[in-house]
This record gives sequence, structure tokens and C-alpha cells, in this order.
Amino acid sequence: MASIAVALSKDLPNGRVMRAIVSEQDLVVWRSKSGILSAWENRCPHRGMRLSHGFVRGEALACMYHGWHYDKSATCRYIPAHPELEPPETIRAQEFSSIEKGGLIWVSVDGSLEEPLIDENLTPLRSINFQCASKTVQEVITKSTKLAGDTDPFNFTTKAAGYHHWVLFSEKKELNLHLFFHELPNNACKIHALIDKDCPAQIQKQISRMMESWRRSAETDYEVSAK
Amino acid sequence: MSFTLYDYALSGNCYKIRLFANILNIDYERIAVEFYPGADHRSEKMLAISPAGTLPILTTDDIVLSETSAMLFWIARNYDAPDHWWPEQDLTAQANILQWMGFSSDLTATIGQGRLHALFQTPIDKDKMIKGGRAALRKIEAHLSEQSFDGCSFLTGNKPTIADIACFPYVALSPDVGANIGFDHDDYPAIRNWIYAMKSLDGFIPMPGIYAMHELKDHEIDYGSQKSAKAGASK
Repeated sequence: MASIAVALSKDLPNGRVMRAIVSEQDLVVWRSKSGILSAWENRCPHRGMRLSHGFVRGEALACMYHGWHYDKSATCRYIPAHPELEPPETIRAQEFSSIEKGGLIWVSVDGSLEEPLIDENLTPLRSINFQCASKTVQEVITKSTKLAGDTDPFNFTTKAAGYHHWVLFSEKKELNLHLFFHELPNNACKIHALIDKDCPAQIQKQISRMMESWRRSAETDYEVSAK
Repeated sequence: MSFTLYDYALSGNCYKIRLFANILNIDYERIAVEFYPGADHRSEKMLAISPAGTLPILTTDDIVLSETSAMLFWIARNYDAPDHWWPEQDLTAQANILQWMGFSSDLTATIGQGRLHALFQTPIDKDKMIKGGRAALRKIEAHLSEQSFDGCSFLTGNKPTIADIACFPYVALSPDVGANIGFDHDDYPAIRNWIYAMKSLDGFIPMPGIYAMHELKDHEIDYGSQKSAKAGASK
């Protein structure tokens, strides 16, 4: 399994923490004050608390429960209840490979972090959550691009449709829309969407609303087929 | 002139008033009312003050308010809050603010009710609450994403207004309603960014379920100097 895009870089500024799930693996993804990115198992080795509830303290991530600090090597460096103690090196969070490219944060949970082949100059749009499988969303997108007529402001055509990465092209706007599918447990998924150039906020809003429309169709389809 | 707030610590609606008053650095009298289990807000004594039988209540010698939107407006005007909280001369901004103030009651009716159920087992229609709460979170997420395309961090512009105060508590508290019902913030990056912006405001105060941003404080520990200080002390 390759690297999976888990978030837009812009949605994890310096000093912030988030939770992500890749292939059922619960992750804490965080960025230190100076901007160093890490992805670890979402579990404090001390009491099992989700580290995604924690706080960034400079270059360390502090667990919300008892404040244990872990530095960028995932090693525990400080235990507030025992300030004199130098924690043993064996107290570590489990690390996964992560990388940042093309405005996206990529994580691999199987140790094989392939450098993603992606255009470096993309403009982030938004990440949107779907309560249905990515396959269902992809069917809806295919259907809606086929149905879109000349009056559609974009009239997108599907330029590439990989397993995780789709590119829709609008000849009208000379615009590529990149969709990165991120599958989640329980038949849910996210799309991390980017465009290939700066475009007016109005067009970004139109694309954002188009994705909401996909979601309305996709989730209904899902409910119907599940019955 | 100051006011009296009849208050309950766990209430997101009471917190709106505490938060706004603290941001504006207003001194006021706070009277705690036992909402649960005593239901003192429905006692004859409290109904004599405010027949609405709800919390919070804001009173002065001249006025009794039981709606938080009215309170936020009254505080902004009465205490000369910086103009961005209620832009005096900007009709469009005012209309947009009222729009989101109205939306804040959807949050109370869904996430607020769900949270009351989680805390005190008050009876609710759970399916309706979950669907309504999810729809409300998606609506505000979509709007905040669109705001970000315009480079704005808040609901109606690049500065906070009383609409942000009105919507903030129950959006921030939504994960407390329950797990795996679509109320966690993991699925809502624009909401996360907005919560961060709200928590970064000068005068921000926490409430149970809405913690302060520890990461904003300069708590950086220099492990090296800590160890050498320790070594020095043991000598």
C-alpha cells in the first residue's frame, strides 16, 4: 500500500495537532512550533490516551492526560509528575512515515513511503467528509460529469482516474481539479481537493458547493443500496 | 453600570455571556443557579425574576433578558465593544450576523440538547438530534471553508463578531455528545481552524469541555538546561 494523503497542509499549521485514520490505523499527526511534521500511533504509551487530544509545547507533543512530553523522535523526554527523572529511551510512541508534498500531508502505515508523484504547485481547496465508500462517490462524480451540459460553469471531464487520485479537467476554465480519496473505516471517506492554479474565491466556492452536491447524491445512493 | 448574570457553569449558553464579558473585560455580578439536579431555574423565586424559566438570565435595574443573542447585542452596544463585534455602520455585516445568531439556536436545539442528554439523561429524539446536529456542523464547516477562500477566519469576516460568540460553544462542545455519530471535529478542518482562532482571542476563557490552548503559551522546555540546572542543584 502506498502513501495516503490525510490532510491539506494548510489545515495543520505549526503548533497544531490532528487525528487521522489510515487503513484502520488511528494516528496523531502533529506539527511542532518550528514546523516539523510527525505521524504516530494515536496512543500515549503511558495510559493509552489518544495523543491527538494533546498539546504542542515547542518541539514536543504533550499528552493531555498526564502531560508526558514526546520529542520529534517520538521518545518521552519529560514526565511532569517526576520532573527530576530522565525518562528511559524505551518510552516511545510508535512512529509512522510521513511526508509533505504538493500541499498535502502523506502518511504510510506499512513502512513503504513512496514519494507521491504530484504537481508541486497546487492550490489547496478543502477536505470534505463523506459517509459512504469512495467507490460510491466516484460513481456519482462520473455520472454528474457525464450529465453536465454546456450550461455547466465547469463542464469537467475525467482526465485521470487512479485508485486514490482523480484529475478532473475543465476546458472552459482551463483548470485541473485534483481529488485525493482517503478511505476511512465504516464505509466513510474523505476527499482532499486541490486545484492547479490560483483562481478567484468565487470559483473555489462553486467547486466547494459542487462537492457538497456530490455528497448529497452519494450519501443518498449509499442509503438506497444499503436497504 | 454593570449587570447580574444568573449562571450555570456547565451551560454553553451561559458560557457565551461569561466569555464575551471576559473578552471585553467587564466586571459583573454572577449568581450560580443549580440547573441540575435542583432545577432551581424553574423555582418560583427564579420564575419571578424571569418567567422564561431558562438560563442564563441577564438583569439590570431596567432590563431582564433570557435570550443569549439579545444579551450579546445588549452587551456589545452598552459597553462600547470594539466596533467589529457589532459593526454599527455596516448593514450587510449586521444582517449576516443576525443570520448566524439565528443559526446558533439550531445548534442549541441539536447539539445542545444532545449534550444535555449525555450529561443528565434528559429525554430526546436521538435520531433527530444526530441528523440535525450533523447537518448544522456540515453547514458551518462549508461556510467557514468558503470564508477561508476569502481569507477570512471568522463567520462574517476577518474579525470576530457576536455571531462567532453565539455559535462557538455548541460547535466546540459537539464531541462531548458522543463518539461515532459524526460530531467529532476530525471531519471538520475549517471548524478546527475557527475554534483555534476563537481560542486565540485575548480574554478567552475555558469552560468544562472547552479547554484553553495550552500550545499558545510559551511552555517550551529546554531539556538541556533543565538537566544542567538539576545537576547544579544536586551539588
